[in-house]
Amino acid sequence: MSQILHVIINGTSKEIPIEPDELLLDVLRREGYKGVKRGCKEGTCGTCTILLNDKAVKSCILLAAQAKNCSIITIEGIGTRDNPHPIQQAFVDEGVVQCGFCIPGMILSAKNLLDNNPNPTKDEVKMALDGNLCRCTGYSGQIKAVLAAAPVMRGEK
Amino acid sequence: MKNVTEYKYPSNVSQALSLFSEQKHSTYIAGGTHLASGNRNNTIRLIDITRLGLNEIKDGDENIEVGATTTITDMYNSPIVKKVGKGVLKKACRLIGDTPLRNAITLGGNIARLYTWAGLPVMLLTLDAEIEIINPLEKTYSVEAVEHITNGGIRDGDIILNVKFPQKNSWFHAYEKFALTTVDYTWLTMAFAAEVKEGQITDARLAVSRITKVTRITPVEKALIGQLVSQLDLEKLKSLLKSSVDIVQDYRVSKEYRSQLLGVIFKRMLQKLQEETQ
Repeated sequence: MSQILHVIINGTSKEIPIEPDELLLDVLRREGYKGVKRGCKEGTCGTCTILLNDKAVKSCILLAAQAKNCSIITIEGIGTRDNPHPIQQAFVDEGVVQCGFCIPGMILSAKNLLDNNPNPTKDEVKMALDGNLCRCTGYSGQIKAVLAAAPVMRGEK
Repeated sequence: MKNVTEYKYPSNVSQALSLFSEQKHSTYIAGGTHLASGNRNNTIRLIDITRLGLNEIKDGDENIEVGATTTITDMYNSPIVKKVGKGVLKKACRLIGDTPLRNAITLGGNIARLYTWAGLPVMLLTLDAEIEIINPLEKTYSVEAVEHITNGGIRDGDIILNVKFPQKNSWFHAYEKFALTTVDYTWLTMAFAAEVKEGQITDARLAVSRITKVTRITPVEKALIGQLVSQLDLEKLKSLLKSSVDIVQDYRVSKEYRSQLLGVIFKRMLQKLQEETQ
């Protein structure tokens, strides 16, 4: 490995050996963050979505080197089975998960929205999720779940 | 990208230019969304230009200045960018890719190489934008959008610093991207602008991409100038446009379909112009 990537992943400072042409997706998966899924690998499906400096991006079309000194959040960093994030809980409550492959990316896109816009409209939710393809369920359930998570994140429920 | 062995992080423009001059097989990288998945196999050194402070949006008296590494999301959210062309530039930003892509794609990256699927080159043309560039000799120069397009985009080694957009708020503006879904690659991107005084068109810009290389359609622009908006012969103008564009191959859809599409979208823009000027 020819260089060291300094990065904060899910709140933990890391120094990761990388090659300058490695994709961020591949590096994260090699480091054990398997919630970052490999789908289309061309920036279309959104299943590899992560938060980079609090913005949703597709890690399959970013080089790991681009993330130097940045903060990364993956699905492993926002909730646990026993203590799920409000968006994760809303996805469960609304029953919007079928195969589940797209869900980590979709939840992180939703978090990107709700962290910046605590009271979004339905159109704003649609726009926030427009980079995440789901081939099982359609999108109405996920949109409903994000709208349901919003008041919980605002502390109103 | 299989030959890349170096990734550099200059902290100012001068350093970035020096790094490029040292290694001729260098490529600048900003959002990187196209580069990471591309096949630039002769690139040995990547030079990251996202940490040079080129991401400011400034509100000037005559122009809105947008730094080259400003992301499309930041442009879309900017109240300053919203002022350009009565919101047409903001609309164009909304129609680029999807949210995670817009968080990464930069203005400079979208206009540097003139990819036909890119959303903003046609906007440069109809808004009469001016592009400020610096070359490896650290000489700064400005080019008008038309010249940038005619030159085939940015020269190797040069860096786009910013783009100045005249507000042109007295003009009518329209922008359309036609694709199967909002986030799909475009089949046709078209931008149209017209200056109307006392019901008469005094100046016009019409630009298309994807259906052909990024270009202005000057025969149609000339035909529009001097005409009364209320008396436009929409069918004649539609035909003129269709005959003025050399449609390129696209494996997804026939030339005949796209020719029809070209005419229909332009006609709708003209109808909107008529509605707004009545």
